[in-house]
Amino acid sequence: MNAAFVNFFTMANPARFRRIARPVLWLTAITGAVLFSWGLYLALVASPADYLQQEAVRIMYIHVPAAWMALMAYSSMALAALSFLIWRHTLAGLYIRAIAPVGAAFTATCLITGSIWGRPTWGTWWVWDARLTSVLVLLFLYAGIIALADAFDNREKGLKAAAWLSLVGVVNLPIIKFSVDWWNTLHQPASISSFSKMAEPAIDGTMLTPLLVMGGAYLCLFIVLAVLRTENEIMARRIENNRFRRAANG
Amino acid sequence: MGPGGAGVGVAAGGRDVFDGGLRRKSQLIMAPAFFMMIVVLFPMALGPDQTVLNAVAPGLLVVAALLAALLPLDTLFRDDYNDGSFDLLMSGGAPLSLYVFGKITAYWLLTSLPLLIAAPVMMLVLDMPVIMAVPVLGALFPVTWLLNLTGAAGAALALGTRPGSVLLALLLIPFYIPVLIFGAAALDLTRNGVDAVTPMLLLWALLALALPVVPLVTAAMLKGLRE
Repeated sequence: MNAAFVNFFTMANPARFRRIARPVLWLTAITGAVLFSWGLYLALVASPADYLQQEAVRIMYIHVPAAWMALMAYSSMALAALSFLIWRHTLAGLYIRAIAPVGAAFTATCLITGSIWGRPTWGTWWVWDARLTSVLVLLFLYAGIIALADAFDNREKGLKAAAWLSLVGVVNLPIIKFSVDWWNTLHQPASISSFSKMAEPAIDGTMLTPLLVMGGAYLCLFIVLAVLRTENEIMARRIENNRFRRAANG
Repeated sequence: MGPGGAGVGVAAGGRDVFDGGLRRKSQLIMAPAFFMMIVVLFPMALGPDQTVLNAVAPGLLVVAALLAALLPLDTLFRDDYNDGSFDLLMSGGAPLSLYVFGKITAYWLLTSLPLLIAAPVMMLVLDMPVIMAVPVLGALFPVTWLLNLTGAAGAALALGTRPGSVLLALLLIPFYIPVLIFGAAALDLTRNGVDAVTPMLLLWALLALALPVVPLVTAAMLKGLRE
């Protein structure tokens, strides 16, 4: 077993997680606050308006990072689901419950801002484009996972079922990613596709910098929400256990 | 876990056809009746204009089949789960995937086959040319199978939740969407006289993939959630 794996397994212990979580929380919260103020200043004030879209282009700085986080939340949830089903990590199961509403919120943000952006630029709030449809399906998936995790009287069973569902739902991720390449409909293809293309990206540096800063800010927000909500799940579980114990002791 | 065990698995699924199914006829006639009701409602709502009806007919048939397939799913594993035959099956060593496959086959025969028989009649209701029966049935056959297979996996996940909720629909809609898109496309393209082969082949390819894989995955889910 290599070092990364050892680390991964020790993190799966809820008590150890809470000890590590505090400093991580402070670090990402402060970094996130700085990045958000810097990124929003760049996005709303310092960056130029688009030649074609004019001021409407600024929605991009909210919309695109939200889409990134929606996919990242799902990927991390699916990884947690895998480790929950294979190694039965308690923490991984709690993480599924914790992160699904966060991912759903990022997905909804992505869809809503996209819709607001689409009105002035595409001339419509919504089209049945492959990208839009597959992201809507992602929102449905999140809704299904949230509902399933809460549908059982037995908490553990709900987590297991939700883990299975989130694993099966992974098929949607490549469809979202490649929808703009496979179907040539309205949504534009990726402007930032890989690090090798980072040297010559399809968007100008004056817009790329605020976008990446906002991406970093969103990532910090995601980590803060993930840590806080996972802590909440741990505490909720602890309260429940205490209640059972008290009931058993009369 | 020899061939004898496999027979037990299929028989347990098939029991529904001869025993449970026939005893609770009314419950199972619901699905095709529901399918026909939805289809019949549309000419009343949209008016009898043939061009309008022809435009919506392919999508409507697939959507109606989808909604009808959702109806009986709740009961797919519930009875076996509640009366304990499920535990017997698990401890008996019969391959669970064959049991799942038997159940799906039984439910297809009970709820989807009548739907396929009703489909040509519904084509008349929607003013579709009779010759269309061939592509309609050619598409609805894999569509209903895929809906039942996907639905079985969903029913396995939701097993043990409170019955009669919309949970199952919520879980399954994301996975029904590809079937809906390709199913409607297979019908729609035939209607316009364009090549319908691609979506039709995709439907059958999806079925060829799902038929062996879904019972295995569903069995793994049932086993995993039972522990």
